Amino acid sequence: MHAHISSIFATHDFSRGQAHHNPTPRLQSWANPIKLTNFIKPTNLGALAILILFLSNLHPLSAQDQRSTKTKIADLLATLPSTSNPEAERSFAELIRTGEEGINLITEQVQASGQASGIAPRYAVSLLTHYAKRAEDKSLIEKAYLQALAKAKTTETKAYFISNIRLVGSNLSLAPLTPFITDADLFAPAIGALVTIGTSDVKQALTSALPTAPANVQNRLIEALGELKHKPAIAAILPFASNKNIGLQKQALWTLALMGESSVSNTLLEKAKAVGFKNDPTEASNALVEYLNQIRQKGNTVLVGTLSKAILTGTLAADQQHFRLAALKSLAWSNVAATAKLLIAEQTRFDDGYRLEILKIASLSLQNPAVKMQWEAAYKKAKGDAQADILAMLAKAQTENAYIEAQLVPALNSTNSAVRMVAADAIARSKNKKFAPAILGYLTKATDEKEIKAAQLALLQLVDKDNTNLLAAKLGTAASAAKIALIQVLSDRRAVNQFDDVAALCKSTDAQVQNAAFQALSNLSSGKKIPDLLNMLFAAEKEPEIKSIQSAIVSALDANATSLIADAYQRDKTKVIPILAFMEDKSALEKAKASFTQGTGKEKEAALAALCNWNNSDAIRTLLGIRQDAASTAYHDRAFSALINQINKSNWSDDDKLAMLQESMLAVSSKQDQSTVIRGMGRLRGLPALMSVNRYQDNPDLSAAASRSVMQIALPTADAKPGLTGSIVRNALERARTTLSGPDSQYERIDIETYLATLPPSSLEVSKPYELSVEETQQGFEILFNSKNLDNWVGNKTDYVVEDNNIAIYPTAAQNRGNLYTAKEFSDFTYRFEFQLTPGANNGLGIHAPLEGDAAYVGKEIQILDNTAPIYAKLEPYQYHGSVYGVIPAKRDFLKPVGEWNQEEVYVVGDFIRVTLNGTVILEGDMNLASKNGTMDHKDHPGLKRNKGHIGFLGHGSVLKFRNIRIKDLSK
Amino acid sequence: MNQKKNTISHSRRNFIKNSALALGAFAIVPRHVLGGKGFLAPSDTLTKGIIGVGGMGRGHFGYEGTKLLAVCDVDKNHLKQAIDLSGGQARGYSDFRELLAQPDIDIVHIATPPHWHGIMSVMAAQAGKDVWCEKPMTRTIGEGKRVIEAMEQYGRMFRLNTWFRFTDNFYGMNTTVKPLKKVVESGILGWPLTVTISGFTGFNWKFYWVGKTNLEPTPVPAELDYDMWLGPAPYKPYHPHRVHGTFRGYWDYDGGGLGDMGQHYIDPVQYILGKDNTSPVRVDIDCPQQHDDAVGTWRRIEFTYADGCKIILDGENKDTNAAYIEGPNGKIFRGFKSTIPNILQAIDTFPDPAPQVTSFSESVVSRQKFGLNELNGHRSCTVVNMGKIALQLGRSLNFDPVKQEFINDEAANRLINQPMRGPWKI
Repeated sequence: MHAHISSIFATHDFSRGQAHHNPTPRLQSWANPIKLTNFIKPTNLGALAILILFLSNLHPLSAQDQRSTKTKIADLLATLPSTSNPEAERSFAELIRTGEEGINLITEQVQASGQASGIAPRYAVSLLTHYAKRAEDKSLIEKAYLQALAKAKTTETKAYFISNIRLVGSNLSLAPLTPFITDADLFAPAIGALVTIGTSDVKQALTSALPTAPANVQNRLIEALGELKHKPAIAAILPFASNKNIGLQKQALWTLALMGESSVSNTLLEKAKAVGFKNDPTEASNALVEYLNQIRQKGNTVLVGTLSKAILTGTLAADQQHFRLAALKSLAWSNVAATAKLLIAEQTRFDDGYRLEILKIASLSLQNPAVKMQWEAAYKKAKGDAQADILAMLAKAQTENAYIEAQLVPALNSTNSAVRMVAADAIARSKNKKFAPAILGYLTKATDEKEIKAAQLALLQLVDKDNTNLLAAKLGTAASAAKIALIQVLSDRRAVNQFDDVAALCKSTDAQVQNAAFQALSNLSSGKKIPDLLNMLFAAEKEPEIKSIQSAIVSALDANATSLIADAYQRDKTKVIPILAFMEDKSALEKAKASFTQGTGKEKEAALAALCNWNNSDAIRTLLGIRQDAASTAYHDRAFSALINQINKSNWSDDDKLAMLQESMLAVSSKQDQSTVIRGMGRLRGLPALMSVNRYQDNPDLSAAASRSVMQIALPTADAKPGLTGSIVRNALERARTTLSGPDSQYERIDIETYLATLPPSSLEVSKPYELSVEETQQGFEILFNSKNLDNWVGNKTDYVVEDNNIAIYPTAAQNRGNLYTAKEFSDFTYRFEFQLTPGANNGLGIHAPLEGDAAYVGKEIQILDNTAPIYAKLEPYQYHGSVYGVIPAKRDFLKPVGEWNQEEVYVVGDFIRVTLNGTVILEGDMNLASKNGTMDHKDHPGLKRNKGHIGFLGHGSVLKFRNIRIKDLSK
Repeated sequence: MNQKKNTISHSRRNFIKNSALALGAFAIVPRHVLGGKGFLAPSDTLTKGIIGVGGMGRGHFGYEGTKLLAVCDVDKNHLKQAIDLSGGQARGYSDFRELLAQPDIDIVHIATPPHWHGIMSVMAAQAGKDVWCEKPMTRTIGEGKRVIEAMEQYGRMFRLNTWFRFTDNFYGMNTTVKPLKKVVESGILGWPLTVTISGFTGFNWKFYWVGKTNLEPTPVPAELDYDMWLGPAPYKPYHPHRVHGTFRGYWDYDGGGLGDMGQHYIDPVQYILGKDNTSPVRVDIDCPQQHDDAVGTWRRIEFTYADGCKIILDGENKDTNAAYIEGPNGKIFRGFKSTIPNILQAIDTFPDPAPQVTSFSESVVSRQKFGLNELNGHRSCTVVNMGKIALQLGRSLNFDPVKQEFINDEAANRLINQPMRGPWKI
């Protein structure tokens, strides 16, 4: 047998479960997204579907499935919701294969919302509705839903099926849905579904329902007919335009507008006129505007013109502006040339906002040369902002260089400052560097602060490293404000080649220019300028200037700088110390330490500041030393906060950080400082950090910081680190959940609860490693599971894992079955184990099983099942916990409550089997005698003839745990 | 409507006059040209009303110094709290249509759940109001298209309430979005580009706003007008988890963490990639099967554009080495670390992108489109909505960005629009 096993190992992938299990999950996994996306090319639409079909045909269940439809559906429901798309596709395919019978079994189980047993069937319906792609599948589903709708008892379930019919339905649904059109509770979903189906039969049915329906239904029907643009209904709808019910009137006007038929133009115009072309509850004016939109789309220029003009004569008040704009827009469309003149005059009718909207309408017609000429003429005549705004409109429509050169560049010299600013803005949008000199010229001539800003903004869009020299050339002659703007642009563009020009201005007698020059130094400095900068530093006297020079040196530091800085330190320690904090060289730290310990006054202050500001983690020890030094109390606070900061920022391992934080904790005593340390620990990962902060949850002063840190350490993080598990973590989190406070705590609590829900649902997670009792040892029992690893087991070691000294099965997302077998084979035995169920959990104990095939048939399967779950309400007797599946039923109701450990013994000698659950014999009998006249499930069980094989846990997609597994081999 | 003094144009005219005195033309030149000292804040003149003053709506009280005149909510408690919060100054309404009919309101803020955004935006435009709307822009692709039409027809201004494309610290980058836009415009990374959004670059959203299945019908509390709260959404029996704060977990109103937070992350990427006028051509997903009512979680959503650019939402933070943005010639990671040496310095040497209008008051007065408006807002919301539909259908979808329809997928196209419960229309 050993040789046989190894050959299986050689040819089958056991890592994901049974040898025959299909490998789809791997292919479909997003673990390798490149592979996936390469595989499913956008052009290869059907690839995924074909792949899934292909693979699902390989599925063992379809090949040798002998379960009844009822069982199939029960099994399938237990796996829903599917945890991945390929799995959902497989479940969908399996559902469809059960045909009408299976789908009806699903829909029959749909219950009014609020019944726990209804959850899985609704997931199944959602699967059917959303995953159906082929017409024949949709048709099958549609028919089943229609039957379900006919049988449904509550309004909520009826609405539910109607909303599902909306997504899969066809003309076939029309007749069954028709009675619901006038149903007081269900007309809205029914009409909604019919609109989506939208066939010509539907349109007729909705039209004929209109005259006699109640008013609220009529409202929906009219809306529906509008959405479907069903013109034959116009005659039926027209009377509603004068209905005394305002809601109906509004809906009718709107629907008539959407139809866009010329026959209703008078009705719509008269209604809008009657309300004075204003907003009113019938929305008649809005309907007219929409009507204009519709007839425009049909190209009816004459009617658009007539109606637009009619609106214009009635919209002379300021609160009708929006209607007037809509009419002007339509008019401009209907007659571009004639409207230009009108629009030019219209500019002054209301306020500037209105004028600007008029210009937007005008801009739509500028491709007409005659219109453009009229606006160009208007531009020349206009004044002030109005002129500038017209230019902006013209410039937006003409982005070619010729226009910029001929019109916009000259406009920079306009006498109207608003025009100049608009020109600069429009030129900048060209992104064409050749216009940089023109803007530069504008800048140097500008006197007004706003114009200088506008020019500067334009330059920023037109200057890159290749034309900064143009700016530098103007630095000498430009006036003060323009000079500042130039310096800022050079700085923003990091024009290092212009360093000398700008540095020269650090000597300017104009304080503002000088200040701007100093500010720019750090963006313009480079390694070769360090000697110059050091000379400037020695000469500088004002604090802000010293700071600017220091930061310019820092940003220019390179390997050559080390000796220069070392010399400079000797010359003027106080001025050079701040630079040390940014040096790579080790002696820099020694210098700073020396200046702190031996220096006085400004030098000592500068040294502390540098240590606090140190740009790597080298100063951490020094800072801790200062914090611990009783002689340095004046510096304690600053050193401590820098210390914690630098630990947080360092690239040390979490262990090293934790050690340093623990040391820091010993050095501080105030609640505030201790909280700071605890928060620092909260940024770490791992159990040691958790244990370190957890103990402070008991300290009322520190519990707030501790609970937040516990949460941060234990939960999965934003940067992909998984959460911590185990009972210590669970307890710490449960504690934290109750003590968290602060504005975000309600969200944090949700985070914790969400995470706790994913942890195994037991307070008894950690089991003691099992030791045989004296009695069992004497009887010859041996331990099969050593509480540490799965060494004596073969099969799916991915889903089955050792956790807290238990074997736990966590079915992976892509796969919901998987078996774990003993490496050895057994024929006669007493097998004892404990198991812990989760709600609805399903597993099985396989005996006399080969490693391949469905153990329930090719071996025997002793059910392990939480048959108290509502989804198992309709089980066959031979499916309850402890039954030899399909062969001998077990006694029910001896399981402990879900979450507690159950003790079970399975005694097998030859064909005789006895199952003892929690001390009660729940099954006893001869497996061959019991199946003498055929098995209870009427299936072929070739495994009944086997009397030797592996013992294993047979996964059915549920989470559960096992422990204390031992066996006495009775064949010895 | 009666003959009230038209305060809208009055206030605008005053503003124009005051600004003109102080600044000259501000109409076309963006505000930051004119900003700084001496800039007259428009807060004195523009007015607003807020619809939906629960959680998000109260945030709108302080937005950009307009004067709050009115608040509206279908929950009497929320309404009372909001009026109190305004110091009793704001007028209260429980039907937003009354608020829309107030002639003295310039800007309508919409901070309701998303299933109302489209209808209210359209109705506000029809009433001649400018609109400041919460994200996500609309619950469906179809409603977004209608909002664009209405804004255009009536000449109204629209701003969507997310801001990362033009301000604030951009997710995980320690900068604003501008350097990223410059990097892309410079071509330094090559083309096409892939942007990966995960816990590394922001919020761990997949845990949030998951709905509950199988809710037991519960009596509607006296303070809530549940029928109005539902509005166009399908009627479902009331349960407190369906409304106020937790509504985001239900497809009828929103789309979980993706629906609620997605546009924050995706919108700036559409801007960076220069996709403001288009949509992806494909969406691929990896998720558990979704419930038809309650939104579930997901693992990964991948959007692909016609030119090969991609946006990947890595909900599991699986790809720990993923760059935020990556092209054939280089990558940029969180904290702006890059495979390109001294990239930030290099970026500084490139020209700036065109400025955007980043003050809605300025947009309202100058009638220039706000940086994030109904056009680019609809496009980035379409990315969110494509993702939502793919999640519900559990499959990859192909999309036509011009027709704004899914290709060869009838079920997906049936989710582009959602039927409206009466008496609503859009």
